[in-house]
Amino acid sequence: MKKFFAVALGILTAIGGFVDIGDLVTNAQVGARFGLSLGWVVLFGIVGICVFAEMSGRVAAISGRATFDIVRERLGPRVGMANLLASMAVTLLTFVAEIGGVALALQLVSSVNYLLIAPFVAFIVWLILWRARFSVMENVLGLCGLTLIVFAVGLWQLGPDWGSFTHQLVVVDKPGDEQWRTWAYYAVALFGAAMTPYEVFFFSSGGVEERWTTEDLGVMRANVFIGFPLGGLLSLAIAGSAAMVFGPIDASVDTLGQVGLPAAVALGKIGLAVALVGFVAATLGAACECGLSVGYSIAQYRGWQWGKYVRTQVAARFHLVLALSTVVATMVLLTKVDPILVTEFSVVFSAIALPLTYFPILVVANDPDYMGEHVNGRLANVLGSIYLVVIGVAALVAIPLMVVTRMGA
Amino acid sequence: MSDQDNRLSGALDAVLHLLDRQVVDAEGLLVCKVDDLELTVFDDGVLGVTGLLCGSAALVPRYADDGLGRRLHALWRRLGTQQADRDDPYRIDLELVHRLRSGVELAVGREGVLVRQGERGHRLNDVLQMTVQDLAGRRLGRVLDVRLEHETVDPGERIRVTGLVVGHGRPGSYFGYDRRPDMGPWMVNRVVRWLHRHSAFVALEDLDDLDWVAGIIRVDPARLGPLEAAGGSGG
Repeated sequence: MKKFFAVALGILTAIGGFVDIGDLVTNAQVGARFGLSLGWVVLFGIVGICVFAEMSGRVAAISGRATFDIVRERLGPRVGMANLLASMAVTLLTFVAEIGGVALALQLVSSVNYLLIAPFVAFIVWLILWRARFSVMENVLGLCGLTLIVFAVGLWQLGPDWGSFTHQLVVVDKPGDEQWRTWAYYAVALFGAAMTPYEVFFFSSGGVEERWTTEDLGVMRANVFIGFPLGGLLSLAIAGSAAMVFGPIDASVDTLGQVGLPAAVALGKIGLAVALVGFVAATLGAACECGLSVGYSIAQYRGWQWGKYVRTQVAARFHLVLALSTVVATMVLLTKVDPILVTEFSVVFSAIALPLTYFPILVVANDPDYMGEHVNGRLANVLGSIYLVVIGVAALVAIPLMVVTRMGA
Repeated sequence: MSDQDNRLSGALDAVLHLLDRQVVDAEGLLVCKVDDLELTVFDDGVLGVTGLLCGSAALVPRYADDGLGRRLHALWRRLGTQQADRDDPYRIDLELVHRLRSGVELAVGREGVLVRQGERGHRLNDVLQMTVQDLAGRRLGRVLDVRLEHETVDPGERIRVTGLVVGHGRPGSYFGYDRRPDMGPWMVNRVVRWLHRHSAFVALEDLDDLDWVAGIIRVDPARLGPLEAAGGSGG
């Protein structure tokens, strides 16, 4: 019974923890403009993050090594350093976007400008990273994030034509007034939003934090293979409800308020209130994960003590990195840069940075020296290879598409 | 240092299995990375590994095998020209290592374990940045890895260098595909093995010359043999 509870809790937090500011904004934007015609990218991205997370979770459980241990061991210090710089730039960008997301959500509640709220949000994030226990942070914010189910309920209340939705999902097509290159650009953005690198840095380091062993592989897989897809369905629900509300009036989504509007249209004030709780929990949880990922990665590259499983003063350098990265992210936010714009950049750059960590994990997951009998099976390798090619192509085309479409304008 | 689980009790490849690994203390706390290895010529002329080197003084020189890396190294030294021990890395004697698995496990706690002890021998990085030439001085490639083997001597035991992995140093030399023909996924295996099709193994006693000062190794190409996993197939 206790075991069942642990598995259920893990799955629920995986669902709630899956959605972050990138998923919220990108899915609403794409839903408003493209309906569900890009929904297959979300589904494809979910399978991808499952493949990636399962491999890195397995590597963490069997070898006790997290992502940037592997990166340095397999790529060497030079390429590893370049990799670290690029990955941390993207993760910091995402960190800025997540803190901004929390502040924007609180602005919707309080009508206080998000610039005033942002430093307080950053302080809370730092306090959580410094003081809260790992499991408390993960479980509380993950469970609160579950309130985003309001979008699924809202979608059902809006009464869409399910046949047409399914048709859009399975047929490769686009609305007549959009260009194929814009369609391709948003496909890359959605893919980057679903497969954000920090999720895997956090997931694998979290596995080491919680001292996973061979016995935990089953629970880990249940979380990944059930929790992530259900979380991904929330993404689709956000896209679907945006399509219902904004599609007919040809409006685009440029603010977090517009992302939440379908919940208000479908379920009234209560719907909006629940959606806002979901926004705050999801983005706050993701902000903590981003901040930790920066600390994890840098410490893993240099071999410093990291993790929340030890007392703060034992991992002093790690906590210093956490504090500094929170300060840097806040400073960026306080330049008045639009957090939604930062989010749009962060999902595309996530797609660009993805191969940097995906590839070493794929190699090590095949290395019997690390994995013993738990090396990738045939299915993991077929999927792993397919995604290696797709991730590589997405990374290569992302910047050209960004330029020619002027960021999907 | 003799249990089954310990990689240091058999044959291993220094870069593939030891370099850049996490060092963990007796309580499971993290200490540092294996930023470099100390190589020493023993009294009987055998070259062996005697310590782990770590800290910036060990790490930064490893960036320096191209122009940008050398500039970085020079900049790093400029930041502390007043320090006499700027280039002196922290050293952990191999005696303190309990075993090697996916990380290096020390037999002691981490408190005060890192001590600067002066430059006592050579560094693995010196070997890795050497040029390999044939007897006429034509470039054959570079050293990709150094093969080590545990041996028992009187008194005690030691890790000696048995040979070098020589190749062109293309991307992917740390992945191990050149030494594990069966490692998946198939697509990556094909590409990396093709890139490293020139990689070869040469035993240390078959080298004509190993010049530490000039950074040049001379070897008769006929002495280069096929590359296999350390300790036979499967490692």
